[in-house]
Amino acid sequence: MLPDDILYLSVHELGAQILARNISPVALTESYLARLEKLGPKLGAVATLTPDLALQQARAAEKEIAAGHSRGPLHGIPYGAKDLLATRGIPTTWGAPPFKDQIFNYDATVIRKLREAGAILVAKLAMIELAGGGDYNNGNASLQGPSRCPFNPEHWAGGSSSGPGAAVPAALVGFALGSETLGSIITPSAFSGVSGLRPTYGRVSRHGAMALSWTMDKLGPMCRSAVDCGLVINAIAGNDPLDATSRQEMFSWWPPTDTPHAKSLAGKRLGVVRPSFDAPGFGADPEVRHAFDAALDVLKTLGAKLSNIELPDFPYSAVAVTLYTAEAASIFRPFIESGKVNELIDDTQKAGLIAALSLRATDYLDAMRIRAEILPAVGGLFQKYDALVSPSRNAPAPRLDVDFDAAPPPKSGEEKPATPPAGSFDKWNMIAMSNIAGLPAISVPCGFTKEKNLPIGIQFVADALREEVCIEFAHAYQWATDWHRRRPTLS
Amino acid sequence: MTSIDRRGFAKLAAMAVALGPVPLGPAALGEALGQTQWEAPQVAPAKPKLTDKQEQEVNKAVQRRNQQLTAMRGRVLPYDLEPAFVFMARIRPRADRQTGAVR
Repeated sequence: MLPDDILYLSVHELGAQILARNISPVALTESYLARLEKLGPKLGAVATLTPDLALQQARAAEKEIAAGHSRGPLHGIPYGAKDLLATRGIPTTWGAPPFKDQIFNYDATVIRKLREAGAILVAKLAMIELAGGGDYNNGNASLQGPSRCPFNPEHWAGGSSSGPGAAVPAALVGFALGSETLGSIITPSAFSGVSGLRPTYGRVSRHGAMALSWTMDKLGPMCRSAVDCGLVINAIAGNDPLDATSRQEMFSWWPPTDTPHAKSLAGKRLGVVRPSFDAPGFGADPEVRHAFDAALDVLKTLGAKLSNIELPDFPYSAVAVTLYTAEAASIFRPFIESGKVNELIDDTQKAGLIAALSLRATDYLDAMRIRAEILPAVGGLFQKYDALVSPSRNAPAPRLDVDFDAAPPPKSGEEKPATPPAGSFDKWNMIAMSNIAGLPAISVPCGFTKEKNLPIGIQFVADALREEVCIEFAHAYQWATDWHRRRPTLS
Repeated sequence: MTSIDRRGFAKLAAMAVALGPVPLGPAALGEALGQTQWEAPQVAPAKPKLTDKQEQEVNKAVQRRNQQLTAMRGRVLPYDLEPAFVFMARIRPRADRQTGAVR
């Protein structure tokens, strides 16, 4: 087995070592498979291991590289895919008991593209059932059980791309693919200390991915560095005749040949969306505030010009939830009406999907009309700023034994906890805003809580089709810090 | 679908005028149009059978959603604001059609 020091390398580093023939793709695959078998169940990271396919792909990669034929930086790198991506002949459970025996006879476009890039599929990774389309109240809402944060396994890895969240920072894979409709890449990236990139809507083909929301679903990489996210997006982006919403625009990003330097963000303008951490009912964690402030100082030192802003005034949360709820209701209506919905694990999810059938068409259309107002308003921000920055989440990962809706204890002097009115936090809701507008974002680690060792994330959001801007900010930040290099203690 | 020519239509229209407003069931309509059978579409149940507890959970979910939607429903939208999706009629290429050619 290869030593941990190798398994924790980034894709960029592994790719260089493989190309130089210092690391064998077969040995690397065997080592990740062994680690997945040993630690995968403890972290609730795995849906299905694919050892036969993986070793076959690894041997082919080794042979090609030995013959001097490289397919690029992912050639010979083992990866895991969230279990909502169709893989020919391998179970694709969508994380849900009613689909535990589902097998597709084709590969999702992203799986095909990664195969063509020489990457090696070692595992399908766990996820929240049906990507949480009906809402859910606990990290246990998965056929594979709860996925655990490798830095503190009593806490959730985040969702709905929970398996990638658990697997990547524990070095069970070289990288992973996740999906996001409303926070499902950014949240596990923040909660588990991952560098995760959610691309522009349409940048990556969704063909073969479980549909939850036709107008909001995106697929993206979850890695151990921002540079790795760029390398994976290079391989999976592009137009696909099988996905009518996939974009024609080309994407190409390569790590800069110059090392970032002390002023590599000089002249770059960042709009800081700084939540009011003291707002009643916001549930913000003071350690997130501290880590975020420290991260802003680093960005300032790197030369970025920071300005505090608030998002344009829109009901982002209500619009986002209405859009995906209505679309999920249409997609899953036969499943809900057949009664199969009752085989799901989470009661909130079952009730949410059934309730979704009664959402009014006028609400959906109103949400789409407000979306039409949001797009130019948000687009205007990028005339003033290269990117927006905010904490990825306002608090670190919750404990797995506590329901999400468990009311926090009242503050001293209060009879009961403050209940904020609906939409109170919209002016800081970067996840809802950027998903409605289909904008790219990256979340990278920016600290850890002191007592519980829980990761904290910072996110950069850029204008549509400007993934490289997100990567450049995150790459510069990671050059100046080493949060992304932290390893969990695993036994 | 059975096609109907102008003469057939005129005959039906004359019958309709003579008979006045007669409720025409699907079977009779099918007969009039020359169809031999008409099958009612299978209507799926509106929602699965729920226990009392589930009914409560669903009601709670609807209430929660309605509360969330207040922020959206209270918003006045300009009447000419169109939704953020675009429908476009398009001609799909067909093997037997030469686009651009006049035949």
